[in-house]
Amino acid sequence: MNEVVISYLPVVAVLSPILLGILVYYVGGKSEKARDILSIAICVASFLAVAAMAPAVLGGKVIEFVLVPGEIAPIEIAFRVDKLSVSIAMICSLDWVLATVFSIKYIGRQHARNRFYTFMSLTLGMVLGVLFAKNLFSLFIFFELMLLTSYVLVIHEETLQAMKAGRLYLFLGLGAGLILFLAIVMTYMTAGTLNFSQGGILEYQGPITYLIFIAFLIGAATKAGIFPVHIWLPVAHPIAPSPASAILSGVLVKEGCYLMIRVIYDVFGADLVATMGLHIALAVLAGFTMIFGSALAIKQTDLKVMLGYSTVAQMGYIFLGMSFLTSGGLQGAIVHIAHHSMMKTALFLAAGAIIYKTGIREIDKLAGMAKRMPITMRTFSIAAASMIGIPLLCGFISKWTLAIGALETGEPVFMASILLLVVSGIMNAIYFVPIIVRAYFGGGKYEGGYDDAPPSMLVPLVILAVGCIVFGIFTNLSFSAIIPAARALLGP
Amino acid sequence: MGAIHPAAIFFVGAAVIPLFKGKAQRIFIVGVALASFIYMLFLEPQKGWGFSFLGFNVVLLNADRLSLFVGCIFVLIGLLIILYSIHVKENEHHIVSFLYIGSSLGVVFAGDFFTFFILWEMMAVTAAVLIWLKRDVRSMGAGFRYLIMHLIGGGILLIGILLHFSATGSMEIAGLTGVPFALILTGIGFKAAFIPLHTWLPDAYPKASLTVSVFLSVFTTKAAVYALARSFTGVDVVAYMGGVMALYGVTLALLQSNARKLLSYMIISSVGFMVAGVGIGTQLGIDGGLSHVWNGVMYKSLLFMCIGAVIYRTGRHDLTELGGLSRKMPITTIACIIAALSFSGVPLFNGFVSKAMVYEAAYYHDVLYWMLKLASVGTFLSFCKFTYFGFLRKKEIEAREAPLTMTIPMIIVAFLCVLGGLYPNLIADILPYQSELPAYTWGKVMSIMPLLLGSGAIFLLGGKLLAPRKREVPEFDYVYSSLARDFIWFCRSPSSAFAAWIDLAFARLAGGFLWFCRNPVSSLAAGVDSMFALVARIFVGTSRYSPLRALESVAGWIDRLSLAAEEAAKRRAQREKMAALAQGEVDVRGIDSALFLVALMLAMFLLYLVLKYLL
Repeated sequence: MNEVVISYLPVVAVLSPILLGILVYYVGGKSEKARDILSIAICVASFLAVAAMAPAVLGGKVIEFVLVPGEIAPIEIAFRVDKLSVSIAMICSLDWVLATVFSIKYIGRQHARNRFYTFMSLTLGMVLGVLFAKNLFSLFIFFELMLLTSYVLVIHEETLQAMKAGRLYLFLGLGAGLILFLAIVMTYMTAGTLNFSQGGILEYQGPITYLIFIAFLIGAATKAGIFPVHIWLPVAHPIAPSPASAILSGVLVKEGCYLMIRVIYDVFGADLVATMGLHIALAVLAGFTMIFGSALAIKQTDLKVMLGYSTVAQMGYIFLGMSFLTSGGLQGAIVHIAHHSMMKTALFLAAGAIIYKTGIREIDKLAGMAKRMPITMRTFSIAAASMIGIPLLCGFISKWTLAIGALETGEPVFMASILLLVVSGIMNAIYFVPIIVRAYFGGGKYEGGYDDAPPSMLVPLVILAVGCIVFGIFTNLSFSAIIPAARALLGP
Repeated sequence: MGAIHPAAIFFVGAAVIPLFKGKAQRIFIVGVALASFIYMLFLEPQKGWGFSFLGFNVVLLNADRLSLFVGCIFVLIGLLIILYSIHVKENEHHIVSFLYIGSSLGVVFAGDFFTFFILWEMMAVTAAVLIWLKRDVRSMGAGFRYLIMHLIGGGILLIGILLHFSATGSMEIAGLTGVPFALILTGIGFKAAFIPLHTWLPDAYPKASLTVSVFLSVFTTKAAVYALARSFTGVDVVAYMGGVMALYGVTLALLQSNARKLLSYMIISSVGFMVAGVGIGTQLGIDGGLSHVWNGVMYKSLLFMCIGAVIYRTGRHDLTELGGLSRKMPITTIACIIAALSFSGVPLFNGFVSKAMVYEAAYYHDVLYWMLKLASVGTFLSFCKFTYFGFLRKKEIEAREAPLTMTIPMIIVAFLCVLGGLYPNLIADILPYQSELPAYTWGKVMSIMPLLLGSGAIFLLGGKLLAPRKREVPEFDYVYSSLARDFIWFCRSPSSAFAAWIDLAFARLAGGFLWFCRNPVSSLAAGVDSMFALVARIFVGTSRYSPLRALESVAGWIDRLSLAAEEAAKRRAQREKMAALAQGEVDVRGIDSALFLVALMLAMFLLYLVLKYLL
């Protein structure tokens, strides 16, 4: 058993964005500059708090802290940081820092700036709360609050379209949240506890166990944008301001994946899921999502909508990985959470930089953009090539790991999913390559010279693009954390 | 670490190129290529650069006789083509061509499948970028098709590699069997331009820029031949595929009028000879195939250099428009004739030697032997057509000799072609099996002469028939492009229709639920209301009760019900209209779907209670 350490660090990481986020609103009323600095400082502080936990957690300890003790057992808000949470939290909070830095110029032109930064901070707190939750109850609390705070980010533009998309996001999320709540209630009634524990807390008790799984699946899949309940994602992600879309697509959908990993490995347990045969159903759903999302992305003409559909497809990869129930598959799922988070954040931020500078959202009009915004386009191309799965970029590593995981199962049904990985990669190429080619080699009408986004936008982009390359080559960086995380979930 | 990896020289060079400008840059580029060539001459067979990556033991440098042989020819020809293309001003061109050469070398020296695959994909990407560097619409399309074809091939290769790994537990390039064998062969076949997988070649090569098509003509297909020689020797399918390629290539070449397209098909044909040699798999066959790689690289790049020089000076691509160049561009013309003679396998030129080896090896495969012989006739005919209509026939044309940076590499390569023909033993020493075949025996020379004389006679008699005409030759392209169109159509239409249908289904379900909530329930409530009223009236005041009023209230109840039904029908009609108008974009979702989920939750909860207490 892991050594348990009591530490305030998770509380710092979760509550400082929430409490200081409210302060941001009032600071913003006094001085814009102070607000910007404060909101970046909050993200950095959270990131540092997460980073401070990393050595101990990766060293084999588990950090716990009870925030609100529950006399009556399940009503307890408590944190528990293990290898899985800390490795995902690292990349999420890093993305958050970069998106916040990016948004300074981007949001600087828009209305309701104080509101935006406040809710950015709040959402960060909620995201980390989900990741650090010790039991399903606290996870549910943060999960729902995350939905509410991110709703404000989706409707930031306040146009009719945005309100409509926001309504869809909110109500679908709430509905799914209720189903999730139902699942949690049923779990408590059958298992008698809500604490995550390796190997699962549930036992097979007839059809009701299937019902619980399906309810969890609906709750998590709605957040992650898996096929039948993906409908909100391509509507809500593109409509938000670009930094917000970046974190919605880069971080928030991953919470659904994280929840599903927890449910499969820590609530049900891999053995139970395997005996119930649910992993095959999950794999079919995920495989279908991969192809479906890519096919729809090919059709799109709006860059951000295309990226939204691409997210749907990539979530399929992650769900596919966790459905293998093997170490390789789980590693693939976790590493793809991290890698996709980097790639998609980079892509959305690059799209944001293009919108900021030129107002262009349509793919057809990007011809010659590489001449005008070379650094932005370069980062975009690196991230896109990584999505396609060009070797030595991080997207290839996650696909490779997923494929190895599929082989580990030794079952033809799962081995066939390698084919899906390849087909989906080629479909990614079909929709990403024309953009790059058009931007670099398409000539174009633009005659002016270099006119790239300001440095505060380029720096996050460059960091993410370099990250795509670094994590594609120096795989030990990520796998040294992810392999133990997967091992801890799967158990001995 | 051991010795420096040859590919690393080019990769580092590519990174350093932008630091230099103008003349210094040119000197640097040629210097790096020259240095790598000299380095390669002294590279010993060895293994090195091994490390662990993702839990695999990766070996980047695996130099044995086979890889050193192919590496050597790659570096030599790379140097000459770099010299040829040194006049290009763009930095990108040089950087990407360095990366392309580097990744080809990486493929050749790869010691395991993982490295092999990574560099294999890098070759595809860098080649596509080279094609795009022409920066026009045609090359954009061609490069895109090139990349997609190669990514598909790479994907098949990857699946094969993974299955091989799961079957054997090792990444070594050896011991392929069963399904992985077939998949990896297909994957390599995409790059080797196996017939029906070859369409990228005649599609992209004529549309790339002049210098780029010289680069492309050398590395991609030869790297694939190398891969075949490494793991698919002695496979009959491969040998006969070589024969098919040789025949198919020349047949289509005879029909072309675009000079570079004709040459592209000739590449397929010549690669067919190499593949056949490797596929036969005897020591002589492999050596024959590989020495044909050596020679083929020489004369094919020379042909592309010549036609590049012609296009550079005249701006004309098509054989119908060319001619009369023997006076205007004598060096180019002579180089071209030497290349054509080598390609046709005329004695005293290098093509003869390696073809003789392949024939000798194929002697016991009757069908293959005659396929190759027939292809030879076609080759000679194609080159009669190419040189006569392209260069020799009388025609007025504006042109002058190509610049020195172009002619010098051409002269060197032409010299090497002749040298290889006169002293065939020069490369025999570095061949993997060191087969020395006395090519110039009476029998061999005599056996080739009737073919050449015969096809020469055919050309003299039937030259008119072969005169270039502009036409579209039906090809496998057509199948692929219609397939691709269908695929895109599938992505655009049915799947988005399906997505819209999903949205609509949600809306319908939610709408149905709402209807259920609003109408029967409200009417039921209304009914209960009036019932209560009725009962109340009965009890409160019988005097005020009259059957008529009761009837009235029932009538009111029916009225309300029908009104509600009418409204519902109206709403439904409206929703259907919206759905029809929106065509895939449905606006009726939103709150409805949320309510649907709530209903679902309630339903599940009820189900839960039922399961819990009744079962």
